[in-house]
Amino acid sequence: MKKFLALFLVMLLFTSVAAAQGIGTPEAPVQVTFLMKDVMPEEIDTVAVMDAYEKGLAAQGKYVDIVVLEAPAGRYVDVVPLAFRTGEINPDMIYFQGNTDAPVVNEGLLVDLTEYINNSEHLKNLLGDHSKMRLDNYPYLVWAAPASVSVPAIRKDIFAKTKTGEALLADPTVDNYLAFFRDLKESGLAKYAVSEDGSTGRMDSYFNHAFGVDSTIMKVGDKYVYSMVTDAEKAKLEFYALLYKEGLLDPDYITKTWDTMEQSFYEGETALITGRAGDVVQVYNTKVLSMYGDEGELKALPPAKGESQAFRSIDVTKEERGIAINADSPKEVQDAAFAILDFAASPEGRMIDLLGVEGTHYEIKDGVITFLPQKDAYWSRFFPTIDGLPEGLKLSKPVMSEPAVESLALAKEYYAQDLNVVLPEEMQPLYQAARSVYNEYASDFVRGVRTFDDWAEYVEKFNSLGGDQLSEYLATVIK
Amino acid sequence: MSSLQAKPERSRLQRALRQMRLDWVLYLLLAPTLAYFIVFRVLPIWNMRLAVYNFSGRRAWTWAGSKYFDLVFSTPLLFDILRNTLIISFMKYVLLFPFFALFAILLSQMQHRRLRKLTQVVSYLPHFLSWVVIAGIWISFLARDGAVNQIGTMMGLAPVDYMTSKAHIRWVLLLSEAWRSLGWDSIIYFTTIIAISPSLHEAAEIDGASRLQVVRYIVLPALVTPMITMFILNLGFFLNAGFDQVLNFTNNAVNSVIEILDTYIYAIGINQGQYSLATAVGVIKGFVGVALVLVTHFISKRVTGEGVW
Amino acid sequence: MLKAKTRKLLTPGQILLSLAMVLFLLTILIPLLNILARSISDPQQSPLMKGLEVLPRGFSTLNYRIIFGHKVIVPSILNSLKITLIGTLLNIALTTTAAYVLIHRKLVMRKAIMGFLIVMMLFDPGLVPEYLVVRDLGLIGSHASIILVTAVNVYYLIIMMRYFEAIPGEMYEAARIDGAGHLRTLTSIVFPLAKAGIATITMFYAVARWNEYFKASIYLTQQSKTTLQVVLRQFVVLSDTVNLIGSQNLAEYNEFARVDYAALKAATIVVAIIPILLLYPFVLRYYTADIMAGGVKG
Repeated sequence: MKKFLALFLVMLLFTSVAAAQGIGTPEAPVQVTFLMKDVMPEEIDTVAVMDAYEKGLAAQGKYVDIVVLEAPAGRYVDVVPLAFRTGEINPDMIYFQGNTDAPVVNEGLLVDLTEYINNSEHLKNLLGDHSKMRLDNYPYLVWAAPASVSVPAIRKDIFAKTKTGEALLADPTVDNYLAFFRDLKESGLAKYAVSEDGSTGRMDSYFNHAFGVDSTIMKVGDKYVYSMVTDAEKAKLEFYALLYKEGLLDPDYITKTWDTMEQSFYEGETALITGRAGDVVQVYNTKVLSMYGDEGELKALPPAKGESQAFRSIDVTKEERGIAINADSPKEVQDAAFAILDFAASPEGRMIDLLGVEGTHYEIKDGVITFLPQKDAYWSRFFPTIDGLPEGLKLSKPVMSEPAVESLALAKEYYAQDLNVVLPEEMQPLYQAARSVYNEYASDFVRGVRTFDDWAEYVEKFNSLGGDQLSEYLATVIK
Repeated sequence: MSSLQAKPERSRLQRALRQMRLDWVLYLLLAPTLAYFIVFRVLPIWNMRLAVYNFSGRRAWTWAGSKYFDLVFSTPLLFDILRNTLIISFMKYVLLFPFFALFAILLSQMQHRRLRKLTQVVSYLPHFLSWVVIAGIWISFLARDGAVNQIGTMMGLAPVDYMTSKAHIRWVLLLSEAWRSLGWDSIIYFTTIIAISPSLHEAAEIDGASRLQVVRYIVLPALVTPMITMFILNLGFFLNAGFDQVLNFTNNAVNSVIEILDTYIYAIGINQGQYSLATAVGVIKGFVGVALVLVTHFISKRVTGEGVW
Repeated sequence: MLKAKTRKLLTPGQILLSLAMVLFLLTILIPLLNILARSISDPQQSPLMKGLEVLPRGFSTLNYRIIFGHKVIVPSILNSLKITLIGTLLNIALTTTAAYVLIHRKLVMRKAIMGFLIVMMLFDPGLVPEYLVVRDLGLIGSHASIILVTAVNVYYLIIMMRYFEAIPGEMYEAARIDGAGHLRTLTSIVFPLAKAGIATITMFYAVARWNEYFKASIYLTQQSKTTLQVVLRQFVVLSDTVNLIGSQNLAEYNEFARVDYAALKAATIVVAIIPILLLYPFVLRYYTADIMAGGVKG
């Protein structure tokens, strides 16, 4: 009798646990509405992906019905936040970008994902350290993607013709970078070594750490200041001024926009191009391959070595974009929504998201996955990361081209975390004013319109127009 | 009770009511337009009280007081921003203003009909281009090795990087605005000119008036009314100064001299969904605009007898 | 007769004027022809084109095929046409009647109404205040929202009033003596005599309607109801374009990689402008100098 009772209790426990894990039933799956940028409900690929996800989840006892909502026409960042905040649209899962989520969070409309992530099966393993830190600070948006690191790249055929290229790769000091740039120009391989789109942001990505610009906010003495007024920044700007003077930096860099900057690179006027590791490098690579053939393939370059070596520090205050879950949705739906996201992070989910559906986007011949023509027009509907695929997959063609993968590896190797603070609304005008001063003076220093004798004057102006007050505030907020 | 007093004096109000009754058709014709303004303007303007509240889409609005107005005025660069806004507006609404009428006069003086029509059609085109496109065109016009500098070197001038020159950039804004609008904004004046009674022209010809005299004594007087109207109306938008244009033409080298109110607001409210802030700016612009229009209208009425109405 | 005409054309003043105009025209035509040329050039060569080239390099319809291959492009053109036609009709109906009313100086409360209109013109409610009203009226997502929200433009209304005031008072007087009521006066006196002005304002409204982007993107939420300008804007942002082309299941997958985004952008400009250019001939017809002939005697 006791044995029977014990067995019965164990079975009861087992089924209740199993029931707790399951979601919905085959007859009544939980409906989850999903709003994502550029994902349309009637697209063949979208339907295929969602179907595959539903099947995959069903196999785990989670029965969901993913309903993709039509994204509004017009700019996503203009239309969606307004429509969501006023209740015009009410998806269970919703994508935000461009920092338009903060006001929504302030109203308590998004779910705090901390517990979900901690209890997740796959997401917490897939997320990079930067993503985890961001979720610690701001647990409302989840986004599995590599950190947005800008990596410099150069065409292999141009690189091969330089004399200093190998030395640069072996020991990428600032001096070697300088020699490399000079080499490019003197050998006539390009008119300029580097160009920019309006500011020095791209060069900053791989020169900041070499000069000691470690983070957005740095401690100088016992004060917290923005890096824009530190001596490290000055040293870096002096280097840029040298590049400008020697004609290694495109003199039109101030008026160039991202497309004219890219144009300059494609034409061969500029030798280096800097773009986000992974997807953007991929786009650049595809373009140069089509223009210059296989020798034009890109080679990613490491960040400069100096005080330290890393790519520009990555902000961890919050995700800039990501998927959130609607706090007004019933708990059951929230659970289902997160289950979908966790599945998207699982090996099976990654495989569908990145590679597509078997038979439509690829077929398996002799254990090797070969892509079908339909794959060329396919892109992932959930997360952009290429991590998390099942082990031991053999692909006929890599998911991302080699230069893109290389850039991602470099980004990971030379990752550094930023120190920054989200300023309250009242301080925004001060920050904007100080930043304007920096932008103006930095551009003047680099172009030689001002000499560095004016540096003290610049710091003085920066501080009086907001820098001092900001530092005071930072002291109270940063522990 | 003398019978000399035929009717009792009617009060102003009674006379007014009588006139209204006579004019009932007019009020009827005006009704749909007024209805439009009440529904689609007055109601939204009532919503502009959002400027003193914190916006929420689904919950009640909480009181924010002057918070958003403070955000507008608390920038350390306020003086520079206002200065830039006023200078650029002045250049566009005062300096550039007469050239639209001038262009219309020149057009009307062209004897070559085909060329005139071609000029009209082509000169209207830039108005349809977005500032993104126009900036792209002008940046390459003005580049160190662009068309303008090439002509300059041919004339012996040293090349100037106009887009990064603080001394030149406001003129670049002015000229690109002229390039874009000269054709389109002169249409009103052109239609006014062609509406001048031909009998006036005939009389002038008979009197042996020269071309210049015709322009001075016939054309210009006809243009005075529309010019005054346009000038006063445009003043209402003085604080605008051209957000789209500045956003696309600005760069780090020159931003300090062309940052205007709207680009500053864009910079601090960027993508944050700061609806209350944008509304606060709208309120400020509204009050300033109305003040400017009313003042100039009444001054103009005194001085020239013409106004907006 | 011909000789006199040609002599008129060859005076130094005319030559100077013509030359100046031609120069001005060139500054406009050359960049625009460059844009057109880029849009029809071969995508391998268009990235190499310089700013002043007016002839295409090679030939390719790829950019236009991409644009017109977009599922929503044709519906969006139809939507734009619908909104422009109905909207402009409403605009003109309201503006002409209101302008006619407001030129009557004896109208009671006229000054108050004008003051009210000036305030309406200068207080732009902005995005959210207006959005909330449109939403409360249940118009979000329908074409009616766009058509109604910009039904009257005070600036154009006042200009229309100027045109109507240019009609000599004798004409109105004559109509009154004939016993014409307001409606008769409007249709038989005002419309014919202010033809050029009405045509001009019609063109202003039509162009404004056709070019409307922001309000359309906010109020017309569905892809099937949106306008051409909104759809074209999507081609201009790089990352969006990548997905956009991908989502169209074009047959020429290998061409996708070769698309020159700058040329694609150029093609969107061409597509946006062409329809409005067709409006010009209609309006220019009204700009001949003998409108008033036969109306007022010397």
